[in-house]
Amino acid sequence: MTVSTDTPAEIKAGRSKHGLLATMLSDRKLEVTDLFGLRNTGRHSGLPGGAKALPVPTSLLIDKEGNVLWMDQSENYQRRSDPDYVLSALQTHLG
Amino acid sequence: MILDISPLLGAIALLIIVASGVVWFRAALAVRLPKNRTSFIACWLAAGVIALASLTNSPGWLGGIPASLALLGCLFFLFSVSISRQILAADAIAPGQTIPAFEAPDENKEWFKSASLSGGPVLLKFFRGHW
Repeated sequence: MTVSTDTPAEIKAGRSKHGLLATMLSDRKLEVTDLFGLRNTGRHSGLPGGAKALPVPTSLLIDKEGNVLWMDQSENYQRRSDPDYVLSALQTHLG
Repeated sequence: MILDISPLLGAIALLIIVASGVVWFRAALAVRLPKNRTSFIACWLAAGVIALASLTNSPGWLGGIPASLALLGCLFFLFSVSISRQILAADAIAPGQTIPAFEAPDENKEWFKSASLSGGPVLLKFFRGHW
C-alpha cells in the first residue's frame, strides 16, 4: 500500500502507466503523513503548483496487530529503499 | 607560439559533467545512488573549476559554449545535492510502535480506513508521488 501527495487523478494515471497493483492513497494535505510524523521539515523541493510539502520516503512493514516490524527511511530524497533490501526484510520478518 | 588550450578545457569540463551525469542518472533510475557522494561532488567541482579556467582565458565560442554548459551542469548538480537532505519531526514513527488510525481517499475517491488492514501484514510506503 502506498501513500503520496498525488491527487486521485494523478494516482490513476500513474497506475495505468506503471501497472501497479497496490492500494494507493492520496494524502494531498499530508494528514496521514503527519499522523506518522513523516513530513520532510527540510527544504521543500516539490514542483511548483504541487503539494505544499512532501513526505520523507519511508517503507514500513506492519504486522496484523498494527505494530511496526521494520522501517527503512532515506535521509536523502534522492535515495529510495532498494527493492532487494525491502524483499529481504519481508523474508526476515514474515518468513 | 603558446598553444591555446582554453577551448580544450571547456570540452573536458563538459565531458566530465556529461559522463558523471549519465552515471548519476542511471544509478538514480536503478535506485542505486550511493550514500556517499564525495566522488560525484569531486567530479562536479573539478568540472566547474576547469570550466572557469577556460572561461577566464577567452576561449572563444568553441570553448565558451561547452565551458558554460559545464558550469551550468556543475551548479545544477551541486544545488540538487545540497537540497536533497531531509529532516524529520522528532515524533516520527519508529519500529516497535503501533501505527495511528488513518483514512485517506484512493484513486476512485473512495475512503480507505486503516481498520481494514487488521487481516494481515502490510508493506506501507510513503513516497513523493508521480514526479
